Amino acid sequence: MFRPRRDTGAALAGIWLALILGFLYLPIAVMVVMAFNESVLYELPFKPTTVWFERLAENERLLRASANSVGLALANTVIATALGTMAALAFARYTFRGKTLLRLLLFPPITIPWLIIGTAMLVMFFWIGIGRGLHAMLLGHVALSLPYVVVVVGARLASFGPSLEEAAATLGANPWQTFRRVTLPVLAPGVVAAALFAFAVSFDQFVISYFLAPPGVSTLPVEIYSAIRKGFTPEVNAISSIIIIISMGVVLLFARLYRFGGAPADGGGR
Amino acid sequence: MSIVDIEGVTRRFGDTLALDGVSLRIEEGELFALLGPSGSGKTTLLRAIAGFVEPDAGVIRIDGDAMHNLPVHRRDIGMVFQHYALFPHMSVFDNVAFGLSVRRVSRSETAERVRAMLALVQLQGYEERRPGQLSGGQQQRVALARALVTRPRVLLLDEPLGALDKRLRRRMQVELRQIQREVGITTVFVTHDQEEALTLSDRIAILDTGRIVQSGPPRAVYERPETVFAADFLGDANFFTGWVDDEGRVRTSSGSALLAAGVPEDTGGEIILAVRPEKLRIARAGTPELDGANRLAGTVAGVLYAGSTVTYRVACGEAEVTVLEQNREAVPIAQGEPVTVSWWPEHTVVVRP
Repeated sequence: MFRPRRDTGAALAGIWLALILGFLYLPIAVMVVMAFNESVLYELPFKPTTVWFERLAENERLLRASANSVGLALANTVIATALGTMAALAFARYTFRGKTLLRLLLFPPITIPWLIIGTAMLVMFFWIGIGRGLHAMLLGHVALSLPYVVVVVGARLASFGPSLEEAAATLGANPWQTFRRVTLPVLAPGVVAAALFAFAVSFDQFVISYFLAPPGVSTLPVEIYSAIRKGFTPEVNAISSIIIIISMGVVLLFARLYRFGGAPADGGGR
Repeated sequence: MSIVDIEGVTRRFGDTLALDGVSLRIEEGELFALLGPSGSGKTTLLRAIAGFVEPDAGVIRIDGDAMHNLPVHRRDIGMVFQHYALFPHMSVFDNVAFGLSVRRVSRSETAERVRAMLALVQLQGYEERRPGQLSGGQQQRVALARALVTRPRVLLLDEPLGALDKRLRRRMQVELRQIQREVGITTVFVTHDQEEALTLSDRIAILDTGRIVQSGPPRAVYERPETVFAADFLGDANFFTGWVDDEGRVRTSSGSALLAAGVPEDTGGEIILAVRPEKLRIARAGTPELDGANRLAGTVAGVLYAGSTVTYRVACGEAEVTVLEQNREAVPIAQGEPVTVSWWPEHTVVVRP
């Protein structure tokens, strides 16, 4: 990671970065290690075991919550990415009344505390009869993820302007052919990044899920929260370790594909 | 190969009239330049032919077919964009093949036609490269090949050479002209570069505020500008304002009498004369060999040295004239020297304001 440099400024920057990364990763590393430790109370010396993973396999509640979380996040990713990409295209390529205002209104939900949005949703959903449940949670997650998708995809769209699509039209491509063969492939890295965002927003989501989950239904963050309240067990470490490994794998895979897969360059000649 | 007919095309954007009753006929196989400052409507006109802009009034016909409400992808045109707009995620081959593949041309025919087109623009061997790996000139050729491979009825070029440096631009001008001749395609191109318009085109139209000011072959438009704007925009010009006297000479306010070709008899009012700076000759006062029937005495007010040419600003009474000379004086004429400027009446053109 460090390459010796004559420039002390660069060396110091490297050390600084390493410290920050260490600060971020150390707790996670400790947790992963402890998932394999026999002691419930994080006691040393380290005695390797896989007992927590075996216990996890029998823990119905935690497994069902995990399944809910993954399912919810996947559904949210598909719906929010599709809707958000369409919205971003509309913003970038069409002019219509109230466009500026609508675009402006996309941003506040990103900054409004989730607690407040969650409360508002709970009240609203009860009021109009949607109630609580996985469907309500999905609705909430999609609403939360949409602004992120629109912003990420929109940034990518802004980077290449309409001339590629115009060129396709002059060459005889109808609007669908233009979208499928030009817009979408060029947009792909932005769409993938937006999908990862949408997945993360949903998978991480605690507040909204907590508010909108009916008794007996929960997601992983909610379940972990109640597990910790009731009394901590290393099973939580075990499930968390599995999630970390999977999500890091996905992100690294994406980064690798993005870099080496002939990432569509930046919009041709400038 | 086709004829483009534009009749009374008008287009408004909000409060501005981008095109104001433009009528034009572009002949078969012709290379036609739309020249004008930014905001003159030249790009709007090109985009109207392409179908990106729908006229509020007027008709555009290609080979007699009205283009009204016909979407861009069904107009059978080829277009080269200012920044080429090559598809960054496709190889050179796929870029050029795009127009054929959306037309469902067979694989073997596609390969053959793409290869022939890449040979025409001298890019054989570049099939597998990505646009990002090409130089500006190469990207330009790919864009041209891509636009021509479908054998469109009309080729539209939007400032095609604007993004290239000067030396490369010169070379591409020659190449573009050659390829256009070889293919024989009716071509309309937009430029703000007057030299490019003069060297490349069969005919030029000068646009200003949505109207065609003047059109014709480059030489005719350059030598016989009809308005002050045309004279000033295409090349440089010296202007003299005056009144026609009894003998058909033009009296300027500073008292000199000038002869011009085609001076109308008895205009009663002011008329404006235009003379190109390179038509003027300059000599030190008292030098005998100077010819030309129009003469002005003056003092050199400024000298701009540009290597092969020298531009003099000469103060002649109240007027200041610009003279462009080949750099051949043994002893350069210096600022402050008294000089005589002269030129022929046939180079003196009457223009409208």
